[in-house]
Amino acid sequence: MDDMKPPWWLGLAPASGLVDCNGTQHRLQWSAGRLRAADHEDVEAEEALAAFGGDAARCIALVDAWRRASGNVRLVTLGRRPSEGPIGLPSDRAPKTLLSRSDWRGPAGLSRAESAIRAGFEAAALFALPGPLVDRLVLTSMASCVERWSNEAFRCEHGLRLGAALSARAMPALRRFGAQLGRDVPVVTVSPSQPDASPAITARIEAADAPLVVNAELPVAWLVDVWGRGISEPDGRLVLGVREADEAGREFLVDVAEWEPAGPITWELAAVPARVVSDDDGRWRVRGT
Amino acid sequence: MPTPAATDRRGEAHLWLLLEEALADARAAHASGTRGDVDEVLRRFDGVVNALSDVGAVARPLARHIADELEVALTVRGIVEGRSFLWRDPPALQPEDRPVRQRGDGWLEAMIEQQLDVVVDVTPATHIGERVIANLTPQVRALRAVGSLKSSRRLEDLAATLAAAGYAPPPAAGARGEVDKGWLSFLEARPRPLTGEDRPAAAKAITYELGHVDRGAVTLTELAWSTDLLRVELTAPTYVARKRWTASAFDDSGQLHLGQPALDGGGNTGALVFDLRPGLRDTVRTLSLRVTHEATRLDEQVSL
Repeated sequence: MDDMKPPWWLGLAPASGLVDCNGTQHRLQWSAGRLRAADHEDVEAEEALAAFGGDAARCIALVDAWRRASGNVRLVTLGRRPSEGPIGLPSDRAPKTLLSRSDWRGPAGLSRAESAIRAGFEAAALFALPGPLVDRLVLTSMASCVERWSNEAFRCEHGLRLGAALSARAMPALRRFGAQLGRDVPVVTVSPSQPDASPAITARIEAADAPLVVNAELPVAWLVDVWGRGISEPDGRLVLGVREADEAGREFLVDVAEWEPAGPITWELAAVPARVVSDDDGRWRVRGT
Repeated sequence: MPTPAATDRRGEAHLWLLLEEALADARAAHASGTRGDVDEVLRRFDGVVNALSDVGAVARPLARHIADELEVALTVRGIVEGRSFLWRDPPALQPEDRPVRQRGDGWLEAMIEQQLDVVVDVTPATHIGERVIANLTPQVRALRAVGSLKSSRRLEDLAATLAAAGYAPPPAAGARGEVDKGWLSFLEARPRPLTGEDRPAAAKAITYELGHVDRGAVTLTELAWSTDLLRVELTAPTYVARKRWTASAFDDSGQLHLGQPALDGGGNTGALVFDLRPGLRDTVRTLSLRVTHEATRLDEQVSL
């Protein structure tokens, strides 16, 4: 099934923004998972020129900074939460200068302290980009985390952070899913599932006057495959994961969650295949299960 | 060095989840235009960072780093402004940073006593007690979550005591706290605030080792008092004295004495001086002295 899984960026609309590139307004363009300096035709030549003392183009420095930051787990903590609008720093807080790629690769290199300072400048510059680009950067970082989730050392180092980040994004949808069982607002706990494990959700009434308790284990990939695409609750149905997609990224074969009684006070998850389709207004709709 | 997987990481897990809660609370406060509430969210988060660090449930550099990340998350949302954009890598922890969880009962007791020392200067009618309980609740919740405070009901006791002294409304029916006679004695005494002019009228030089903190001996060197003031002087190795301490005393008449450190020069001299209030009456013959540093509590009976 994973072989057919679409790339993480499929279905995400292209995004772009203008930046001041050495006194000229240039466009940075994001599509298909990559950021490009749209107004620079020969990036390699410009980098070579900068290596010999020419002015480094800010667009190119930003694309470089993006590439370096895109694996940074901290971005997952900073990124948007459900029902939140664009985030970012005011553009006037962007540092005026950034290192070019050749500076980073210079023979002397950078000390650890210099690298940390430069990383701070770069992060500030990236967060001063237009909100949709910041959002794509965070999703790139999430996708990088998903790729590394099978690595035990990575899970050990970053699992608690990513578990909390996953919980924050999935909690509202899971609360509404739990509320379908007809009791008051449930108590929900969310944790990331082990690599390759399927989603698991259970609900239980602990006592007659106690709230429903919902325990969910979701794959970390839910962050990018579902939440990142904005398809976590089309038509009020909780989407658990994506199986396939059409080439244009306007139709996804997904699993949606349903409750299945497992006893008088317990319920278990039933994953039901469904198609999620983008309508003419750009809203996601469930078309048949 | 043990691998992270082999250590107890409940403190770190709690902080990451609390960061998410704090972020949501700060967003809500910001959306409603109440800047003070955002500051309150940050203060309470810092309180939990200190609590979990003090009891050894999470390495202090890591806890501070998570607090920094919350601040950055608020900065990139325009919720806090004008601060530097902190972008530091997570700290590389040393073997001595490994969490060694301790009981949090002594820590909580000291925190409550610090709060009472502030409360007593405020008119009861302001119901400041509610705010004190609200401030301490996240810390108690955190200590319970990491198993450092299993059965303590001291927060509930505090709520009952504050209500009995008129500083808070009566706790909800079913709350199981009990009035603490020592705390109540301090609140009801309403000792006046100490000033720089207060001087002890009597003194007793003592050299008595109270115990050890971080392998350094803590020694009581002098007690001095008047009817308004009880001064407690200690020495500790300079590397210990630089850290945060609290002290309190309970006399044989049932009066609790609370206060704050009076000198901040301990880092250079190893001297720790606490001015407690109220002072001592002539009839007092023995004191139960308590000194607390983080989660370590030293108790001693002293004859005057």
